[in-house]
Amino acid sequence: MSTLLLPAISAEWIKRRRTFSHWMVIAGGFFIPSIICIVFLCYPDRYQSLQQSGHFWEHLIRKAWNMFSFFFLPMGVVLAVSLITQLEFRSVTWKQLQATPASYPTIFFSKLIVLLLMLLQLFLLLNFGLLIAAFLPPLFYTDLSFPWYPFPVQYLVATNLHYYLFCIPLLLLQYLISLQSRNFLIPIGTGLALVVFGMFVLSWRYAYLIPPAYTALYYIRSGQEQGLLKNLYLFSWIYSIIFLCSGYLLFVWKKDKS
Amino acid sequence: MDYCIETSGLYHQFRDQTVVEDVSLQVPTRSVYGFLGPNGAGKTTTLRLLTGLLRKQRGEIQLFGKELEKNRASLLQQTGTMIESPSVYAHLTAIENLQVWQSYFRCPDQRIPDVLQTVGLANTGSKKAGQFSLGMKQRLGIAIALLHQPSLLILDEPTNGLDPEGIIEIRNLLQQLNQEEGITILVSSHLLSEIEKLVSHLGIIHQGRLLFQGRLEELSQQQQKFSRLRIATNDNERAATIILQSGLSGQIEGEKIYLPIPSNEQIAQLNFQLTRAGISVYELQVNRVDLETIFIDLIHQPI
Ligand SMILES: Nc1ncnc2c1ncn2[C@@H]1O[C@H](COP(=O)(O)OP(=O)(O)OP(=O)(O)O)[C@@H](O)[C@H]1O
Ligand SMILES: [Mg+2]
Repeated sequence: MSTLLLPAISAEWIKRRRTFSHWMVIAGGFFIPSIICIVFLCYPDRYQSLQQSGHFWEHLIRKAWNMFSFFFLPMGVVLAVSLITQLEFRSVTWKQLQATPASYPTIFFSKLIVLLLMLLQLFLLLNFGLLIAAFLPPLFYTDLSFPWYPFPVQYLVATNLHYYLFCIPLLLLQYLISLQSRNFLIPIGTGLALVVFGMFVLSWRYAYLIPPAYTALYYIRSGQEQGLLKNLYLFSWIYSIIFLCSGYLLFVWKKDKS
Repeated sequence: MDYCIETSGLYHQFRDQTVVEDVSLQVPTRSVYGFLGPNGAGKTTTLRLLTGLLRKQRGEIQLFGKELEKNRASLLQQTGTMIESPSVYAHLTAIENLQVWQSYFRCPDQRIPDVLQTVGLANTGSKKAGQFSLGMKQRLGIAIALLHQPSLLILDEPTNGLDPEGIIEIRNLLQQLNQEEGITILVSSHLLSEIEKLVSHLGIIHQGRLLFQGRLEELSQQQQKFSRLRIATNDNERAATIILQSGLSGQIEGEKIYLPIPSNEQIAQLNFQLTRAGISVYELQVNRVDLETIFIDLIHQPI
């Protein structure tokens, strides 16, 4: 696996060019910041009240994740994973890929790493977009002041890390499903059902057992219930390990690799 | 003999259908081996087994004298494949498609323009492979197989969808690769006439079984065996006796007598003898069988 992993990742990165998932990451990253920015430009008083709250950045970041964590993030994960994996089925390239010297683990992990990198790209764009959304309104309204408040780096990093971590079980589950099916409707349908199901169980006591609910769950209850947070950590790890191992084994055990 | 591909007792079954049965291929190093069989004969299945795309159920597979399963990566590094259809990312250009495979095989950048030139796709620029014609995609598939300068090429119906000129072009290219660079080529087809001019060796598969394997000349010798002289007379029984008396072997099948083709003099002599014995000769004809007919005959023999 080792020697071909980097070349395999670069190959996966080339394949991702111009795909719908690539554009989705870019559009998805800027989508919520744009909405926030438009709201600020239309209602400058909201911007002002955010500044007066004393926690400008924290509130802004939380506002963004409010919209993001419930639907867009899990749905984006489901779509991107399914599309990227489906690319090989649709182009009938599995047979060529599996006839390269790249080992099965290399193929499996290079694709997975590219998916994780795309998720990272999405998060970076979201944060960058938020920065723009924060500095744009004062350029249009001279009576608004620039938000030169101390930037809560630690809060920002912690927030991003948590959401990233809580996406991973869903991403791995979706990866497992998508690798198994030639038919695009199966991963997409299952993924959509999972995300909707995740939204339904949010108020359930044992919602921490349902991976697609994790990001929303973290948003609603973060900071309030330490017990829930602990469970989220625990089950994220458990599910990630289960989905990763079973996904890998199912992939390697496939009798027909083409 | 040095074999680049050697299988023994290869067997494969999909659910309850046996698709490959006891296939023992022997592809000599530096040969061009034609793998011939009608639709559904098991060609693609065999080739997928040879490249490790299908998990082997029974039998042995060796490439370059090494067992495939244990040396997968190093053997595939030396093997170029195109199985069933070209593997093309529709949203990428020809160059980007090749860059993808270049990463996996780790070959120098210069190979990309080189193979594009070789297959005649040098001028496709920013055109996406999805907009290529069938023949262009096929060429790109061949370029992918050639990219890492393999010493073995496994091509499944490589001229599928090419125009007559393209077929000749690819045939010449393969011939050149074999003669100048000593690449071993295994190429499948369902038309003997298409690969007859290209191959040195032949394997004929039908319903999963290998019916013939050997040099092309050996099949041509069978051609002699299958070619017969056909005679029809008003008294076949007596004519057959005369034929046997004159030292030839013949046999009556239906209304006709068939015998292995004698020399021209013998034919003239035979005609004279029959007429002298008062037998009316209605028909005296040499039936030469072409390779295609032997192929068809082979696959119509009850197994
Ligand atoms: N994945 C599969 N599942 C079930 N049966 C299969 C599968 N792939 C091939 N077969 C069957 O195996 C047999 C041989 O198929 P194969 O593709 O090897 O034929 P072929 O010689 O390549 O034919 P063609 O000239 O049409 O390409 C066929 O009867 C086919 O239906
Ligand atoms: Mg076939």
